[in-house]
Amino acid sequence: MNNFILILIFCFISTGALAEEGKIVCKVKGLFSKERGEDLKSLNSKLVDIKIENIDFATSLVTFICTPDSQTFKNLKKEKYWEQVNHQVRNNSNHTFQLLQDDKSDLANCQKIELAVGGLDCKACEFGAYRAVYQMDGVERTIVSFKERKLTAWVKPEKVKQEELEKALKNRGVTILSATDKESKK
Amino acid sequence: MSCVYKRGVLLLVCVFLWSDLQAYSPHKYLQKYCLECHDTDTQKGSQDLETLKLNFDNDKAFETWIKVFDSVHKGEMPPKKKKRPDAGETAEFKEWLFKTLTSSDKKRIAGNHRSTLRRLTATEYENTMRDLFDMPGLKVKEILPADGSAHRFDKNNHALSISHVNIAKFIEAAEHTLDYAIATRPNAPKVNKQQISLACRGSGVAHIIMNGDGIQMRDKKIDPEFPAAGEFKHIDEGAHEMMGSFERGSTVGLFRHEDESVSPYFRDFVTIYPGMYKVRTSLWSFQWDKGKILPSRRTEAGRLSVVQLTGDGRGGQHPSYVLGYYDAPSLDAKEHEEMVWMNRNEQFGFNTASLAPVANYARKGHAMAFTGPGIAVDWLTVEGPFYPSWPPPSHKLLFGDLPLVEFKQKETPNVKAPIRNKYRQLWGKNRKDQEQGIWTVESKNPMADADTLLSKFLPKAFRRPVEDSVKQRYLEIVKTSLESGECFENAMRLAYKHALCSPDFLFHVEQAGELDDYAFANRLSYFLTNSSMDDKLLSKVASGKVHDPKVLHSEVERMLNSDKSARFIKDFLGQWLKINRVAANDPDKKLYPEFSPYLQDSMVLETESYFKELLKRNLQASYLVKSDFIMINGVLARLYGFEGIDGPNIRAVKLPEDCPRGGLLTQASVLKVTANGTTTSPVVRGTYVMERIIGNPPKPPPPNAGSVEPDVQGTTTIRELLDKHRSNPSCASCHANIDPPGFAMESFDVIGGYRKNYRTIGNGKNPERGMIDPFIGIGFKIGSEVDSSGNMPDGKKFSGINEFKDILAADEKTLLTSLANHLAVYSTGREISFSERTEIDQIVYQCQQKGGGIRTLVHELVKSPLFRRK
Repeated sequence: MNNFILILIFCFISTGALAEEGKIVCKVKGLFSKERGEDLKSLNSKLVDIKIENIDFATSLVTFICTPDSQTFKNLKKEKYWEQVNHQVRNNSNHTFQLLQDDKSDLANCQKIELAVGGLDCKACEFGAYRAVYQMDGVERTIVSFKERKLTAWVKPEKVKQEELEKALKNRGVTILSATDKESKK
Repeated sequence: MSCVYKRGVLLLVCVFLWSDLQAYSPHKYLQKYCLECHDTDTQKGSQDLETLKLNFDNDKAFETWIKVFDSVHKGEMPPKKKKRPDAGETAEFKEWLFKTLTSSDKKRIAGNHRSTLRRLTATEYENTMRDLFDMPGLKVKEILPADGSAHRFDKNNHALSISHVNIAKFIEAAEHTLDYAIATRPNAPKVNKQQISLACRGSGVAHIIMNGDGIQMRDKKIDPEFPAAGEFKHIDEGAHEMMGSFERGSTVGLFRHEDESVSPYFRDFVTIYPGMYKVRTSLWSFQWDKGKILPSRRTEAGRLSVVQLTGDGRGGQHPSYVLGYYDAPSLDAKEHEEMVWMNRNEQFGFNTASLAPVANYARKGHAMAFTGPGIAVDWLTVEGPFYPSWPPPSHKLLFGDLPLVEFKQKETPNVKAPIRNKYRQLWGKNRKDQEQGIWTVESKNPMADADTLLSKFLPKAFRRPVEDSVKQRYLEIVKTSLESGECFENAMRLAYKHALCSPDFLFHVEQAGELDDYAFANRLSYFLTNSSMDDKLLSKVASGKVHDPKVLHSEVERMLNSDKSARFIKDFLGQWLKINRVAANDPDKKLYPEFSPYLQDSMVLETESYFKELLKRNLQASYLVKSDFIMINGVLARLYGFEGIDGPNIRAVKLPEDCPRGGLLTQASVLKVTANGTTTSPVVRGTYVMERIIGNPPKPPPPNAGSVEPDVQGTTTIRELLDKHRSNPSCASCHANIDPPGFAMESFDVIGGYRKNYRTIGNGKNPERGMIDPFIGIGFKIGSEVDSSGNMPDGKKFSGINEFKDILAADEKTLLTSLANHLAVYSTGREISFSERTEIDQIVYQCQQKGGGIRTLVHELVKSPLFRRK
């Protein structure tokens, strides 16, 4: 009986250790709405030897669990895990999600800019608007909702101004609404 | 009677006839009735008859004497206002000239034969390759240089030049065909079934629906994941592609049709393996009303086409060829299925054929502000390739039942590998089967096998028995090739390529005088199917029965009833009526905004279907100009003003009393090819009718005649301009014949619509709403009234097209003779010479004795001596 308990304890510890060993927590690019969190979760069925354990939409931090003794990872060094996860996530999402390595952004020190935007109530259009601003240097996080007619960006004020955001969006075909526009269209 | 006695009598008759001919001198008649205007000083109409010699061996003099005969025979000369010649004198002059011209012509023909060596036209070549190798949609015509035309037909030997360019292209076409024909794998390619949405990634359709010229639907409702573009349009096509917006398998509804910047393709499939494919599609139509999907106004028409992709990866732009137009009923999807041959790197294209040219991309509010018709495409499935057997018949023709084995270079280091040209797949998501190595035919006894294979192939390709000496030449090619280290397939391929580029294949080999059975059947087959003879006709030839009247009749019937007769109808009508030039000009968009490629294709279909019907029902020649029925579809019905006819299928429609339609002259195809896209000219149309329908081509205008250009501003009518032109007496004589048919056809505009007034871009009244499709903007005005009355040269008057048609239809013999002439030139490849006119008359006479039907005319033509000699 004692032996059995010991084995159980050993298994628990070793599994936990293995899980800890295969855990990757990092920011993911492409999470511009809560609905996109569901899209990311749905990748679980396509990922091989990787599981998405948790998605923190507020910070874009996602926890992935890799299986170290699996076919995919057994011959990989731990520092290469990230590459494998990123490769699978990117390919299975048609490059709409991407892992961000060594992302040191701190939203607390960022300026939050809210823009009233007009566009179609279509996830791909939101992605289009997101793409327009997220690739700008100094934009740390962006969320878009055409349903709410709102785009929110956290930016480093020394690098990005609101006008620059608006210009990038206009170039992509997004309509910037004035406050009255937004109210009247509600 | 002894032979010597017979010859004596013949000699006496000849001497008598000769002395009779020699005794008569035409100069007296010419002096009395012609030289006043046509002497050396005056030379009216550039004709100098004073110095015209009685030298009938001289080509120019011979042609001039024919013109003299024709002018006197038709009563055109001397002109009406001059003193009438004595009837007896005219008869004597005509008789002498007719006999002299006939005997001289026969002498000329006896030396040269009526047809010289003719090569296959590009169309004949393609059809021959298709039938020989059983590859029914093989495209090789595009490889070859375009043929010329003489006496209206490309089959005329004067039009069929051959140069080093032609030869180089024939070699290329043969290589291409052999590439397709030879099996290069042990098993047939896997049959693959693929369902494709029109909104596939990168199809161009994505761009259309992003901008509101189309929508995505599910269960006949707007796709909730893809709203229709409204106040805002979708942004960032790339983002939508990445998010899979166009890979949801949704139904696509389109409001816009193909134009210079939009060509919808089903891009996910491209042919890798040439062969037969089953293509199915599901279409329906709807009325879009700012976001609502409602029942449509009528059954609309969707077009499927095949697009041949070009090697530069930019696609083929506009369709390479139209597969067909298909019903799209209101809200009720209809599935359509076709079996089609596909060549490498071809894909399917789609067009909302029957819709008005609409573009929402720049409209405020985009699709959500638009009300109008749309056509929905649920999906398209492509299944194939299918082959009747493996290896396919094309391979069996070349290599019989020799086994296909894997070629292993290591095991045969001294043998060169078979030729395998690499083809790059352009676009498409379908992928080729796994590579299986190099497979090729194996021969244990190459020269014996080559002998057997060539013995079967050469007679089939050359369309007649082949002498051993000819076969030996090809065996020698195989032998030399094998000795140089080529594998059996390469050696045979080289011999086949030589055969397919040899005169025996490329030319209609006909011996002088009466054609032998093979040459006769070959001519018959190229006449009625525009291709080489099939096995059934070949068996009749081999058994020596093809000349048997009953056998010949049944063979002609069989060919006319077969699907292949469509090739004859298309090729003959295309050239006779010039409808192969129907796309030569695009009508002015401001004056004729209702014109569309769908209408244009339907015009040609109407004429082909109509002629097919005349042949099927063996109707009289009067039906060429006047009829109680027409063959139309929905778009033609709208152009012609008929109600209750929808969809793209052509059908027979009975005409009401006094309807101006009926017959070739009022068919839109004829009316379009006789116009320049902006205006109509009675001179052009009159010349067309005289040349092609009446068979009496007007003389070419004198060098200083000038031209009469219609006034598009509408201030001066064409009739006023022509009246001015005719005030010159030298113009008047010809225009008396040319203008009347053109005046009668003035009731029809450049796209074949009936008109009481000209359309103008100058001053005029505003047209009534509903005159054309209400979704098409009108930018023209209604100008001056059309006057389609006229006087025939013989004084008969007509008030419009119907009375003019009555006049033409009353002279069935003239119409039948013209058609017989055109059919004879088309089928024998040579114009009708003077002495052969009597043979045409005889054909027409025999035909009229049997009811005067057009089908009967074909039978009489192929039975005639004219058809049976070189």
